[in-house]
Amino acid sequence: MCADHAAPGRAAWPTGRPALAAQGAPAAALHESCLVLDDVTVAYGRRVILSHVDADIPRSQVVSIIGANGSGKSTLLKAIAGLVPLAGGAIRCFGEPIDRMRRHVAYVPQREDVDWSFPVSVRDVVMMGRYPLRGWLRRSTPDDERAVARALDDLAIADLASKQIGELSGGQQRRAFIARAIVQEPDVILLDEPMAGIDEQTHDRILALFDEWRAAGKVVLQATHTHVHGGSMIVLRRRGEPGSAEHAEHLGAEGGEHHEHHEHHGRGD
Amino acid sequence: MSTMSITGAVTDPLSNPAFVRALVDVSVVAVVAGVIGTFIVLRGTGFLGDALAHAIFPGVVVAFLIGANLLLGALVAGLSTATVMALLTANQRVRDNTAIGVIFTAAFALGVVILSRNNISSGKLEEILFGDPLSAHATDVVLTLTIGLAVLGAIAALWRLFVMAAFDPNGARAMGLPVLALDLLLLALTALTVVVAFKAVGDILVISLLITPAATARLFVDRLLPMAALASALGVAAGLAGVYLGYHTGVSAGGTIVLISTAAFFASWLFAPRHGILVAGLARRDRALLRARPEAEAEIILASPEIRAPHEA
Repeated sequence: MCADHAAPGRAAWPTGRPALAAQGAPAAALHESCLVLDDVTVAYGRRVILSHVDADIPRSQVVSIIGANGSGKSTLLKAIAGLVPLAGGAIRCFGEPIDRMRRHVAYVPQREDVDWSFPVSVRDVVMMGRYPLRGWLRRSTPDDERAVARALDDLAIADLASKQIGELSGGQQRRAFIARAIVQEPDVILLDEPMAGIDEQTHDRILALFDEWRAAGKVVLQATHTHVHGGSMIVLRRRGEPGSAEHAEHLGAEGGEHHEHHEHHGRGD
Repeated sequence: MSTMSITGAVTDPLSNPAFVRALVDVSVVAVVAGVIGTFIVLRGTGFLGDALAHAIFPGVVVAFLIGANLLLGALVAGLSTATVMALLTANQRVRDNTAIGVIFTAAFALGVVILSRNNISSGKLEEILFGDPLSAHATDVVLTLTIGLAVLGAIAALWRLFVMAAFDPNGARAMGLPVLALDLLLLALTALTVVVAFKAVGDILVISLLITPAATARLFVDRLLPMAALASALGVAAGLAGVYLGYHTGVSAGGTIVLISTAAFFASWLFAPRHGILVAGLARRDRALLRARPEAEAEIILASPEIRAPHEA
């Protein structure tokens, strides 16, 4: 059910001065931009993690962000999610500054970023995805309850709904957070290492969801070590580290028919 | 001691208005502190509460010297230090313990210096530092009730947002929840709680009322609302016991409240049904016994040739 790509994903990271990446693409007319990274620079203090990142991602894309540890995969996702401030550039979603589009963006954090002993139930966690939908102070409606029940069912954790979140296995916890992302009804879904430390059932379910989301016109960005078949990708590398280009070629050869080769440079200033 | 005298020990003091005021004051404070403490414990910001408590000291001292209500002095000092801290830590460093430590000890030192230039009775100083619920005036009780209800109202209105921000701050911010604003609000509510609690247990011991009952409750329950309710109940129980003991024996009520809370915490830490260390230890021993059992139901029946049992190596 993989949607055919009228306009293939573009994510070009120029080596020299930042060029306007999206200009001049022949498919521009068909290319509905969903997420645009425009000359994005991220720094922690004086340490520049990502610089001059350009990407123009249309709807119906599953983008794998690939790179070695420390190459900035998580940082890129966090920048899009608004968790780290931009030192330069801009991120837009459907032409709007992404800060105004937060409720359309779902974020599934890395396992390590969550306090699993926190006293909330699985249902509570999934319900949180509904909060931003129609105002923070609104009470939950039967509609919300139904959406949550559906998502729990969809991810085969309905029988665990009343359990404390920490009682679940790693894979079930991941599914709970993905259920939370689903009930949020987002257009952009960001997942930080979604395949790390999970069982086969969860792995397969996530891959199936990627296809469903792509068919539904959503944009999925995942920080990962494994490129998704038929998806596009962004490859990051630490400045001055050799071999990433060959790595990307290698992935491309295995990877799939749709992805483009992207130049990639995490350049420090 | 006969049943009559025990009943008498409980009921007799109730004819004393000061004693009733103390009971009401301590109970309200314990309920509010239990609820706020739940969030403080879950976010691990106990140090922040302690720092706030120390920072209200100069406010209380100044209020005393100019003859104003101590609670009002604490209120002004607490809210202004919370604001200063919010400004200092706005740069995503709300838990910068070093900066907090520097500022709040300085505030406490300011109180000490002001004190040293003025005459203040040691009894009054003791009341400020270690609390004396039995000296609460009607105004104090009214202020405590008003502020306490306001704090509880704010928490109740924003309950699920506080929960979300505490559980997964990154996910919440990614969805657009103003987590920083909620953090600052929680800071202000903590300041208010410290202000109303300081009369009951004193400036130094306030943090215990905030943290200890909530930490104890956490050993028993896996849901937030029950945790807050249990923390409040534990605080009230310790508070009532402390006030009675203080009344009958003349020991410091504030100190007694803290000691009772702490005893309850350690008892729970040992004996709590699921999270107490004794039970956890027994569970570990059971697992060890199981491992030692020779006849297991499953065994390896097939392995590729390169996999050998350890003793074959």
